[in-house]
Amino acid sequence: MDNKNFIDELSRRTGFDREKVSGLLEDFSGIISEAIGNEDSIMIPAFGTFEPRKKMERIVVHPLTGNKLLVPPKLSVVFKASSAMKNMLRRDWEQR
Amino acid sequence: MNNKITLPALIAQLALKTGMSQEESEKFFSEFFNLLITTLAEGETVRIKALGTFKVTEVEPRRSVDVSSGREMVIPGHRKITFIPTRELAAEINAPFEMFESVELHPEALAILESESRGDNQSPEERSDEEEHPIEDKSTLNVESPLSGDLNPIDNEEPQDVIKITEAEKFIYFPEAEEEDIDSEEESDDVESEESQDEADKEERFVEDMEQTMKKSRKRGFILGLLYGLLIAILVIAGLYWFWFRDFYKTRLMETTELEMPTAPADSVTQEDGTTIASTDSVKEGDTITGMATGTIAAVDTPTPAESEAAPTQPSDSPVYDTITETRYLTTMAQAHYGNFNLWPYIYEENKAILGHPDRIRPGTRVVIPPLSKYKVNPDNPEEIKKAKRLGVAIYKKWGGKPKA
Repeated sequence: MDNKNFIDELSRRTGFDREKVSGLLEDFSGIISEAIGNEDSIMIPAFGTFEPRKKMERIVVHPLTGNKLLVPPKLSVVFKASSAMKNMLRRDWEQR
Repeated sequence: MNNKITLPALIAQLALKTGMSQEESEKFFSEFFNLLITTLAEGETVRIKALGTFKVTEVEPRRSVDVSSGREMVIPGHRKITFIPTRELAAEINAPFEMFESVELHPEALAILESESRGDNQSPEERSDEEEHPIEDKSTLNVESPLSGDLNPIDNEEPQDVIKITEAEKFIYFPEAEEEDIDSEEESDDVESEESQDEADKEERFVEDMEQTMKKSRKRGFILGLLYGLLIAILVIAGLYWFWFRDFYKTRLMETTELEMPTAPADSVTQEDGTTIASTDSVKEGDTITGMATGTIAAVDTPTPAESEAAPTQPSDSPVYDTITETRYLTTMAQAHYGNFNLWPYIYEENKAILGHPDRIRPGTRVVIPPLSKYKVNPDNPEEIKKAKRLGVAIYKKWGGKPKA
C-alpha cells in the first residue's frame, strides 16, 4: 500500500481530511526522531517498538579497489515487531 | 534516556504538538496503527512518506544448529517486518553524527587503528561486522550503503555466525541483518550478484589477513594491558596511603586546635617553640617551625611516609626529646621515631607525670621519647601493636574516654 492509498484510507477512517492526516504523520515522525535522539524507545502495544540503535564505526573493504574505508558511527531507528504482530503474520502465512 | 514511551504518552505528545484534543489524537493513533497492522498482517508492504517503509519480507525455512543442545534443527519459513526510515527521518535521527563521513584509510593508519581497537577488546565485534557485510559502495557517503550478495548467501551464513557472535554483537545482529537484506535487495541486486563470486574470494583473503594481524596485536595488547594494570595498582595504593594519612592528621589537628585554642594563646606557643627547637629533632623540623613563627595554625607540617621511614627506631643512650606542637602530637612522634603511630602510648607512659588528657596536651610541651627497648616493644610484631592500642584505650579511659570516639 503506497502513501496515497494509506492516507486516503486513514482519512476515511478518522474523518480528518488528507492534509491533516499527512500533517499528523509528519508530526509523528518528529516525535519519533526526538524520542530516538533521547535514546528512548516508543512502544506500541500489539504492534511493536521503535528502538534507537547505535552502530559502531567500522572498517570495510571496497570490493573492487580493495581500499579500506572507515565508516563512521551512526544512530538509527530499528523497528521490532511485537510477538502479537509476529503471530498475526504467522497465522496468515499458515493459512495459505 | 532509555525510557519507554507508551501509547498514551505518545497520544499526549501529539496532542500537545498539534494543539488538538486528546480524543482526536487517540483516535488518529488507534486508526493509524489498526490500519497499519491489518495491512501488514495481510503481507502487504506499507509505504508512508513521512515515516518510511514497513516491509514484509518472507524468510525461507533454513537449517541451523540449536545453540544450547548442538543439534541440527530447521527454522521454519516465516515473514518478518522491517522498517526502513525515510532518508529525511534517518538523517534527522543521525544528526549528532552527521558530520562524519566515510574516509579512506592508508595502510599505516589502518595498522594503528587495528591495534587500538584490538587492545580495547572490540575485536570480535568488529571482525564479525566485517565478515557479515564486507562489501560497501565507496561512492555512498551515507553509511546505509548497499551491501553484499543476494539474500540467500547471507541467510545460509547466519547459523554459524550466530554462534560466533559474542555478547557485544548479540542484539545488534538481527536488526542489522534485516535492514541490510532489504538494502541489498532494493539498491544493488543485479550488480552485486554478478560480482559475488569474486567478492567472496576477496573477503576470505581479507579475513585471513585480519586474523593474522589480530594475533600479533593481541600479544601487544596483553603486555600493554599488564603495564596499565600495574600503573593503576601503584597509583591506587599511593592514593589510599596519602588519603588515609591526610585524613588522620586532619582530624587530629582539628581536635587539638579546638581544644587548645582557648587555653593556649598564640604568643606562648611560638615562644615555646623557639626555645625548644634545639632539641634532638631534625634541623629541618626546627627551621619550619621558626619560619612560621608568626602564624600559629599555619605551621602545617605534613609528615610524609618518607620522613617516617627516614627516622626509624634509633637506639641511642642519650634521652631523645620532642616537642608537642599544633601539628606534632604523640602519634606523629610515634610515627617518626618508632615507625608506627599506634605506639604513642609508650611516649605517653614515659611522660605521664607531666601530661594530662592525651588530646589536651599544650603545644610546646617537651616530652621524652623513650627507646622502645625500654618497654620491650618490637614495632614489627602485630601483637605488640595491638597491645599498644589497648594501652592507648586504657589511657583514654583514665581521662574519661575519647572525646570524639
